[in-house]
Amino acid sequence: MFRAIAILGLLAAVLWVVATVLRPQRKAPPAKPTGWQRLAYMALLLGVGLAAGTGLGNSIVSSEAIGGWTLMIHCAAAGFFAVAIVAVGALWAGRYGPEAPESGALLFWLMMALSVVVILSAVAPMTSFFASATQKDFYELHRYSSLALVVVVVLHAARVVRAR
Amino acid sequence: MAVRLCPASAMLVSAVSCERAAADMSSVRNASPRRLSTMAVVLGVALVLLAQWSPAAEQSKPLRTDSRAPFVHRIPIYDDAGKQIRPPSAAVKTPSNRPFSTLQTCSRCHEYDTISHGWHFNAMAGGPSGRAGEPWIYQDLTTRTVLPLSYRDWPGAHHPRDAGMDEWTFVLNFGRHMPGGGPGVAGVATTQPATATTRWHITGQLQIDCLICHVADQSHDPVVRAQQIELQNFRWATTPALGLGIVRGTMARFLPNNWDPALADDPDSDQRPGPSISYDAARFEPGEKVFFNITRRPPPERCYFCHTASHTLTESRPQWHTPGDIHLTAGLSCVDCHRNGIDHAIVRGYETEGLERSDPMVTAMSCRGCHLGSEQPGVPPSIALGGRLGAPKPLHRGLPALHLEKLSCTACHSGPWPQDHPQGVQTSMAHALGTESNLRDANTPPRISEPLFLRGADGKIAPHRAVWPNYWGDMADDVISPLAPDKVRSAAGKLLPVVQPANMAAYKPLSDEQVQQVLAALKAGGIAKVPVYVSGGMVYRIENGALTRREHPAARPYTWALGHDVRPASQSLGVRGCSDCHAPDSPIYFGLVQAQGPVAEGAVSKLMLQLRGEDATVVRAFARSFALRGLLKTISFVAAAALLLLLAAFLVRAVGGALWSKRN
Repeated sequence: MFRAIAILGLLAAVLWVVATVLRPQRKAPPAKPTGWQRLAYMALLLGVGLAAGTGLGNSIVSSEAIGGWTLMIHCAAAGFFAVAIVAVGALWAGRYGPEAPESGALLFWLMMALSVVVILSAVAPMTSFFASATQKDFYELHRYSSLALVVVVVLHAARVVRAR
Repeated sequence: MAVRLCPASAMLVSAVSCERAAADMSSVRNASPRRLSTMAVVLGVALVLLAQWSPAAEQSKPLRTDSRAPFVHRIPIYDDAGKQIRPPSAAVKTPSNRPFSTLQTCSRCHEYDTISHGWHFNAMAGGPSGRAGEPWIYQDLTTRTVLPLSYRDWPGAHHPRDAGMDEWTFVLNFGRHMPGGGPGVAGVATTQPATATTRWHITGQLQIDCLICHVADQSHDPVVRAQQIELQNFRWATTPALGLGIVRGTMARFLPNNWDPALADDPDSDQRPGPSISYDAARFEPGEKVFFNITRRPPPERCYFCHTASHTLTESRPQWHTPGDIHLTAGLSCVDCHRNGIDHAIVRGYETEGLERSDPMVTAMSCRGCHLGSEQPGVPPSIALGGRLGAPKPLHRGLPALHLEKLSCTACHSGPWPQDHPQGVQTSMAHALGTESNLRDANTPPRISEPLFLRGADGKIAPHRAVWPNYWGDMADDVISPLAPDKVRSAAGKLLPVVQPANMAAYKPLSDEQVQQVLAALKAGGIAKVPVYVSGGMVYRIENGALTRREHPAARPYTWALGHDVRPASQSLGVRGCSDCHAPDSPIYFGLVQAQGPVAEGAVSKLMLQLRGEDATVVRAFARSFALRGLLKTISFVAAAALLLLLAAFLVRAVGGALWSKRN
């Protein structure tokens, strides 16, 4: 079930990106990101790419649970992603404030909100507060929120790239 | 459900009467027609009488109480010829001297035939074998043979005939811890080659001994029964075990092969008298009845005679240090989980058993079924909910659910706490625990190791016991067939000095030179075309004149999952955190398993993870990564908090801005 949804979700994101790129730009291009902003965003894309490749990728290609090297890379990427998303949030939030003119604010804040869900659903089961059954629910939440986050990041990245 | 004269009973009758029948037939050939007709009439009358005293004729349906209260067994008892046993008294001129028969006594009310197909008796029946269990381990000390045997189709176990054993020899070797039935009564039914070792006609059968399990007290002495079996008094074994009488006369072991049981009661015969029973009149109550304190639910002490696993000698751990199984401590009994109906198809308790037997109730009796319930479709709520018998429902806080899919419950909860090396353990079946011996010590073979964390047939990691096979064999197309120890002994001669239980000092590992010499002798004697020696996880053979050794599937240990003793939750693996297992030195991965057995050097030595086919580099890296787990958690929580603050700030600004613009 999740595998089918993941494939469809990623396909939809790719199609959306293609449509976005092909659509003529009507608004004036936003201000160019600074070097720090670019660096943070690149780190975010790397973190998301690695985590999604090992997590969602494993779910798509295999019916086995993630394990071994794949899990280790996934966990390392998760830590990297956590730092990167905070950096992006801190450095890019000004561009998407309530009074800021730049489009894509919804995607940006959705990205932030989903990141919180993704991070907490991964780290909460590592504590000794939750029973195995609840952890299973957290795992499902982590999978679906991660898929949503990946789609949102892809869409936002397409906007950012197109704007440049 | 009628009580019938079952095939087993027919076997018994035929066994007892066949010798007489044979004698009759020889005289028939020389008889006149008139005498023949007289004999026919006598035979007819005899058959009618036989039919009359058979249990089937007495009643068509078994008597039942249908109560939870036990039926008080104050009953007449019958000998193996179906005659009521009468104790010696002034009124009885010829008191019974034939042995008490459970078949003839118990089958009058209980479905003996159905019971005889139960788990403890059906190894030879060829039905589903289920998960591999503890084998019978055949040993020949002189040839250093250690061979796991089973009539069941368990991977790695050899059929007894591979060790040159027929059913009779099997019973003689292992009957001490067998409840009877199975091979104990198969000898008559199966066609066996007439060998010097097959002495069914003298020893009689080893019938199912119902009372070895079903006495509520200790009134049945299994040690006495084991001694009688050693004396080859199979047929007589139960009677003295129950204290009903003692065995007199010449023990079956000392009777020659040509001893004729048909002449046992013949005063004119010049052959030695066989075993006979002298009943204890004090055991008989008025009405010539005997009281048996019988229970449907055998107490654990009865199970333990055959199912003890002990570290007392191997680990120098006094018995009082052994905490025992938490379920027994909690007041449960073995039979609370290992249940059965009249078919005696005892629940073994492993997770997939319910599916194999298509019986949800069997699923409910497993660890998981009882504690967690069952998600199997179609099971009634009483099973689906779990918590039967007040079983606590574990939450497994902090344990990722994946572990419940990858591990059996026993991996964390059963057996001794894992250490750097598996421990030695002795069992009733392998080491004759329960029987008296002053020779048994820590080195008494066979060497059994536990716990080995291996994958079971269901793919889950579970603690196992292991015994490494040790035998001489013949190799053809890379398949090794064991050689019967007596053939090896005769070919090896003085190369293998005789070792006996009383002389275990001679049970030394064989040197490479000895191995090579014996292999050469086996080849020269024509015993084997390609002789090999399986030992310590290796196969030794002579190639180009030199002794070589290599690993081989036939040398791998025979392993079986262990279920007990179950430790309490507070002493389970993982109770101290992930590092109980996920550490660079955790025994479940990095415990060193060394092949055990009479081998001097070169025994296979492997890490636990290698036995499971796992990659040591990955496992080690994964275990080391747990050192960074705390950092990952900190980063994640800080990041989540920072993002939440950011989102909150955005919301405050957005809502505040909206309110401000509305006011102005």
